[in-house]
Amino acid sequence: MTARLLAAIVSGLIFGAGLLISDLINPGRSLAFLDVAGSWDPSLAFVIFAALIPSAVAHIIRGRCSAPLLDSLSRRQRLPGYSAN
Amino acid sequence: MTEISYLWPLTGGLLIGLSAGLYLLLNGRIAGISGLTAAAAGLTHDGDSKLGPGFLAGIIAGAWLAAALIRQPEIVITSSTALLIAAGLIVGYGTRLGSGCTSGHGVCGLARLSRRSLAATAIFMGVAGATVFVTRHLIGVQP
Repeated sequence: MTARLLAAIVSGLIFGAGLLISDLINPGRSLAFLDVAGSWDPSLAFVIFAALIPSAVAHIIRGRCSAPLLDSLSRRQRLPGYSAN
Repeated sequence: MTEISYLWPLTGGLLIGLSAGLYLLLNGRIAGISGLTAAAAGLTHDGDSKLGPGFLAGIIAGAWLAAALIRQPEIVITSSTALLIAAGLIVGYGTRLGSGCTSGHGVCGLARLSRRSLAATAIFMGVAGATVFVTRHLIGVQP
């Protein structure tokens, strides 16, 4: 198993735990957020707000790195807006 | 809504953001579920064909572990299987057409201050809200 695959699995594990703990795994939760004219449930807004914090920090750190930690040999920047692979 | 009920969405959100951040820093890729699913299905190529399946398997295992160790979800799905499949097909088609979903645009793109992601998130949330309004309050379907 490569380090990159391990990183993908670990990231997935954390993502799945986050989906379950936030209860976004429940389709009714998303529907309740979208139902502004009914009994509105703001939970999804809290999930996205909280998720943006580490996501933004990682983006800022990434801006200071020349390449992803586990992809340094290929120097691939597989992000929208970067065309040089 | 009690105060404690905000802690679950905030904690879960922090974990989702941590996951997206780790994936970005370690693998240099966007942790967008629709994009990872497309890569896992062989529809797109992200340079390493095992990453999409690895991430998706991790999601299922992570949710399963959290359900076993932390909290039991109470999931109520009243829609028929045929309707779920049809809805899934539309969601899959739309997310590829829009280059991302809630995770790719909403969590990763907004954190990068991407205007394209802001437009996508505003549009899919707006349209989804309008769809719920029409089905629940105008037609009267209560799923």
